[in-house]
Amino acid sequence: MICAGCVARLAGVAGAPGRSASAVWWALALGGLLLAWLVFYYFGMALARIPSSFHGGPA
Amino acid sequence: MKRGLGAVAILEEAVTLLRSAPLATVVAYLAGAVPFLLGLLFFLSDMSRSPFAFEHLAPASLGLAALFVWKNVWQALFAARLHEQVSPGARRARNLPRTVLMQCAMQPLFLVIPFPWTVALFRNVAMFAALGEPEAVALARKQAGLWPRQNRSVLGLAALAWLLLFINLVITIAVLPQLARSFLGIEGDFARLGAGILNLTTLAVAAALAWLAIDPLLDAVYVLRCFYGESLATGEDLRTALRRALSVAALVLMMIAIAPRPLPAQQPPSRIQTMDPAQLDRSIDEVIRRREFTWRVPRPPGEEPKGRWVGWYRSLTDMIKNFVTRIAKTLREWFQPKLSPDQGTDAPVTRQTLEWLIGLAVALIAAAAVFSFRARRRAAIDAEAAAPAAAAVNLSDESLTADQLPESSWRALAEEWLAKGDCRLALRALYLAGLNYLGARELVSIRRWKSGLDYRRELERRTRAAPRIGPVFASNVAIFERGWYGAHPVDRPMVEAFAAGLNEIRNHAEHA
Repeated sequence: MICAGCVARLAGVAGAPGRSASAVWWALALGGLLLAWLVFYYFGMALARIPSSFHGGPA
Repeated sequence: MKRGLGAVAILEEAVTLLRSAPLATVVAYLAGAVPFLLGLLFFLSDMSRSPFAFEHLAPASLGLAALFVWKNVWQALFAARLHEQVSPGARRARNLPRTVLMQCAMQPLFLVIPFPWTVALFRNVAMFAALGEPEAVALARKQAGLWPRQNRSVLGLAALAWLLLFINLVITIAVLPQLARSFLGIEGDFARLGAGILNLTTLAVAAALAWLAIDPLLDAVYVLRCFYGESLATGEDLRTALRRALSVAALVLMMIAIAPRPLPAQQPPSRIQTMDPAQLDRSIDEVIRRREFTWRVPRPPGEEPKGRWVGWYRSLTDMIKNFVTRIAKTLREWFQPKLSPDQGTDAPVTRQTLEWLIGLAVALIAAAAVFSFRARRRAAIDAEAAAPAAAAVNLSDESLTADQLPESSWRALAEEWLAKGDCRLALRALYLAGLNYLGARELVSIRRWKSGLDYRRELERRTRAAPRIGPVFASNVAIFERGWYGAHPVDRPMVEAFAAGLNEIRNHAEHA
């Protein structure tokens, strides 16, 4: 047996982290996309800095 | 199950799982992997070759990051489908937006921390997220920690398999165009690249294709690891095995139920069967007369058989003999004149005179026909010989090819334009004369689209026995291109130097 107050308290405790967890996941997702962007950006920059003659093209 | 399956065993099981996967599962994987791979290859090629790479680096890398997330979402769905295939009863409610968020948040971390444990962790997270597990990360972490030795061995074997596949693909890409040229005569762009085909793009394509073959296998391995890991607590593997055993048993029972009833055995014959001796002799005689048994039997001695076909042959030879004899007799009758009563010696024209006259007329007609035919043929040959000389060739036309006129005509044109004072056109005519000579000796194949560099490479390849031809030709090509395409004025010494080069090529080619 649990009293109504305790049930409400438990339900409130369970609901609040759900919303905050969702916000955290949204932030993490944006951070992940940013990380992937940065990794590919610097990878592309490294490729672009290699002279064309290395790839057989005009120097 | 404390140590888990061996690496080879779980890889074998993963291959079986992939082979039994339905088409929709495979399509789910390809829907993610193929766009990402194409984007990655385009990005590599663009960044390594484009002179404006820095200008669009930021949007291109953002697009690639988006494709990376896209690939990982589809990969998560693929892993979830494989898990449902392994454990059909354990279907959970899926949450696609949450899967996308988790993939977007977690998978880029693998780009910066690629270790065996993190490989397992991120692939497990993908699968549990797609399966709709609320505690996906915790579950994934727990499963990733199981059987670390198996995990490392699987990754080591997968890396070795990827490397071998990559080397094979590179060799195939490099050798296939050369084989096509050697055996089928297909001389495409790839064949002309030669060793230049081993560039960054080719290596990237081979690496991507090898990865496309290994990556789903790794997914299947981690699905199986999670399945066996969860089964330690839930006994799901036993339940699945039991379900399979029950379904097999049900199938066997059904087959027994619908099987036809046994029929009573056939009664044995009431008496022993005997064989008629005459029938047996006939059968033996038939058998030994078959072609497959007669090749060792000697021919029976005695007179030549006179069968129906022998008679036909003799009648045929008799008929031919009779026909020849009749023809000979007829000819003899024609050429042995018999004096008839109305052909007396006092007739104005005798039969023999008439025959002589007819013979003379026939001979005259035949001679006239031969003379007329020869006269016409000579006229046609003269016209053919005169045609190229008479045809006006526009040497300024870029579409001219060296095989349109013989070498002597090109040289005559060169002399003609040199006499008129146009050294540039004379140089072009000499260039075409040189190509025509090399084409006639099958040292180059003349094509409208080929440049001087193409001819030079082709000639170097085909004149390995006479290596001095190549440099002279290269020098001549340089003279021609300087005068024809460049702004360098063409004068008589330049044309003479070109002609000297041509003579040198001819000398080397004829002494090779």
